Amino acid sequence: MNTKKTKLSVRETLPMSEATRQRLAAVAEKLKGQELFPEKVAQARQAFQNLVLPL
Amino acid sequence: MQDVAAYSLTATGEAEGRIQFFFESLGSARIVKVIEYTAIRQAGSRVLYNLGFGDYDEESGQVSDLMNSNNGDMRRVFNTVLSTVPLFFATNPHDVIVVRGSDSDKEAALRCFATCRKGCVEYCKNADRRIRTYRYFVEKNFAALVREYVIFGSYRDDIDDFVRYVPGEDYVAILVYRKY
Repeated sequence: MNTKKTKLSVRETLPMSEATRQRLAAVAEKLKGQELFPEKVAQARQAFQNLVLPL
Repeated sequence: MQDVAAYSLTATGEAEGRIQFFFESLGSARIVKVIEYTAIRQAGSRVLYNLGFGDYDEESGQVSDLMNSNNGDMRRVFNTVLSTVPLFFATNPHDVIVVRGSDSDKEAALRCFATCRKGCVEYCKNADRRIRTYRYFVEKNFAALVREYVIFGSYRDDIDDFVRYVPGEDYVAILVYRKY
């Protein structure tokens, strides 16, 4: 039996203006490689240090 | 998640265990939002990545995941965050994503108590708002999500003990695998 599968993807993406493109490129260039959420990452490392993945 | 268009993303390639995406939230203000997947540990043959999400403040040059920008476009913003999940798995198909809210830990509650306007006494009414939002989006799209992903949740009292995700449960962390 054929079943209709819905692909999980966002149907549409809003186009980006040139001003936004330039703004984001500048931010990305500035932040690339930096750890942006150090506190949260540290908490996650601690919380899941003994995690045994279920799969 | 399919009925609201996402914002376009700017991505950086993976560098030092981090994959970053940027987009501009166009609500009542124009706010640069940042999504970061950070490798936090190797677990067997897989790498566990933390999903971080926050606002970029151009004046300070800092990123914060503690602000509530209330920019009027929450659905579009969360659709955009979720749109990065398949992008992540396209390059990291065997790895795992863990999601926690930045307002789910004790420190967040203490910070909130310091400026509390809700009269909280025994517990912080703002606690877990972010993970509740993630859960809302997971559950709203659950049927479609489980076709492509295997999802687990864990509870506050035993945060590293993940069980198969059941909608309606009060999870404080979510773990996501891509199905092969």
